[in-house]
Amino acid sequence: MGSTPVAGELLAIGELAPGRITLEFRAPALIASLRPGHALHVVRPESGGYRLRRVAPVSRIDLLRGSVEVALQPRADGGQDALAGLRIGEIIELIGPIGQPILINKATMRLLLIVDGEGFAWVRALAIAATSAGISVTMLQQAETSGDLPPASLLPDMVEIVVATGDGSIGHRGGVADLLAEYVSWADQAIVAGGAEIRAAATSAAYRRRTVDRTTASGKPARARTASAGDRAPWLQALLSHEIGCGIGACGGCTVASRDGQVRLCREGPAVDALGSQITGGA
Amino acid sequence: MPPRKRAKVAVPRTTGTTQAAEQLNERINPLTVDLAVTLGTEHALRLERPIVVASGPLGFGNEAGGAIDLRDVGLFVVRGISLRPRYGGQMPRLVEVPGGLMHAVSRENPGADEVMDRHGASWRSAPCAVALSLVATSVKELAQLIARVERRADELGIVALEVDLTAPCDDLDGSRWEVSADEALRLIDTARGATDRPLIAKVSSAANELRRLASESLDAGIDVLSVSGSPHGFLPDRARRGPALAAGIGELSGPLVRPAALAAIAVAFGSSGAPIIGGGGLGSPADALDAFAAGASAVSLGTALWADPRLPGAVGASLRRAVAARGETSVLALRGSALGSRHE
Repeated sequence: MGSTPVAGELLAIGELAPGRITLEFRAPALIASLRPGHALHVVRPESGGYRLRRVAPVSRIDLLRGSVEVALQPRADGGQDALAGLRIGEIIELIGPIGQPILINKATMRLLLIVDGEGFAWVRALAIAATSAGISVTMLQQAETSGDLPPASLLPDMVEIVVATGDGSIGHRGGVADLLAEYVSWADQAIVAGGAEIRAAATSAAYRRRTVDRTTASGKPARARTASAGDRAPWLQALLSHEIGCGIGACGGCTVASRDGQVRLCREGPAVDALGSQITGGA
Repeated sequence: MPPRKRAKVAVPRTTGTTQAAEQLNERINPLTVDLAVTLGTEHALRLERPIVVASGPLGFGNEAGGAIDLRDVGLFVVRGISLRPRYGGQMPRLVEVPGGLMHAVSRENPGADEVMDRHGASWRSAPCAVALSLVATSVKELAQLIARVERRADELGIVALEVDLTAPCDDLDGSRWEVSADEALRLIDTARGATDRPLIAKVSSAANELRRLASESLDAGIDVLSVSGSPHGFLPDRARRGPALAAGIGELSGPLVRPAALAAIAVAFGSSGAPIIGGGGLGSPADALDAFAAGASAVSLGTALWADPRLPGAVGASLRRAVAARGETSVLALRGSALGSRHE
């Protein structure tokens, strides 16, 4: 439905963090159209022959191998995803890209990524692409304990990783909310991906940043970094994950309200203007 | 070299009856089977194929044509519309559950006028019949909604109207209309008084007093009963320690609801003989045949279309073959074939 299904051959099964499975598919026909922020629909019959279109964020794009790595999202019922039981070499249907790429302004040179264990998969491809483009990337990661964190080796060396853990087993003890003040004034743009807690923290930081008096001693407003005409991305974008659905913006299963009307995550998302949208719940 | 044994070939015994059936089958070409059905009598609804796209999964219209081939469909039921805009609630609205999925879109829509403005053109040009699914929380609201729709229905090519009895009712404290046969019949009566178009009433397998509702809704003016609505479900999110859906209670789709849906079709057909659009978890041509066997005169396809857009075409081909195999020429010959003498 929508895009034509493409056959994807499973090349590898990996893990972003304990229990967070990734699948790497050879799908050369898809690669050229994929950008950071996109997801794929992975279609496979379940027990009873039922086929669902599961949303799997693109976590890495390998142009040389013609492959794409997607991350399986945790199921609400805690069940094991049947997709994790695929064998290397199996071929399944992939549909995509789903959604729009994350907008990065041309003038952006310092990018702040704010993630938890759930959101990491949505921005990993962006971190890789941004550093390749010469953008300084800092990633604030939040986890309950050090064992829940994704390995640093999954990111390019140039990415600065700042960690906050609830139990203090590594990095800052607490949440990323405590660290944000230091980074929001540094960043030209920020992306938050994850649960309600870090989204709320990032949104509050963005509001505070907006209300800072930027008037200089001379009485004139401080000059912002020059934006090019095509720059239209908001300072803070929130990436909202969604599980399943039609993928064509028809069913209403992934809709959030925004200042500019309804945003269908499978069409206009998954990145939305964090300050202009009513984002609540556990999505 | 030992002599080769002759292979024994089992020859099936044929009775006179099976021989006659085989001879008859040879004469029925599946392509000649007529899939068209006429549902109801007073305000008859004629469908070129007994295949219905359920209200919801494919949206209001503009998106549907690019998603599936509507030439394989008899009736496209537009996602539910209401007099005024309805907001669908917070995310998550859709989660996977064992054996299917659960959704809580709460019949979100921008209101009847905007839907008709934006999607009406696609209804006019659709190669199948189009029905609007009407969502109203009160009798008065439904009357106003039908009046609003009727003003433009002919111009927009709207063939029939579906009254959604699985929508919430104000007088029942937000419970569904279908939990009270009295309230549901009151709503149907109002709808009948407001339009001369074929009326479909949609219920789920969880409807209370389904036997009474099925038989009395015909007297109240319904032409077709759609037993395809989604029953309620709930799933805790074990990781987040809250409900999996932001709304808490959701509506179920997928194979997990199919046996209950088939039971409801059988009960409704057995108690009323009403023309029934049967649905709920139908995901294959074989499932569609099961719905006919339980008493349906047409089948409703929903979320299965997301993963298999060619399903309507496959169902149509399967129905033709099944009818031809019985030596019949009308798809209605399949209706109730599994009920036999044991159905109530």
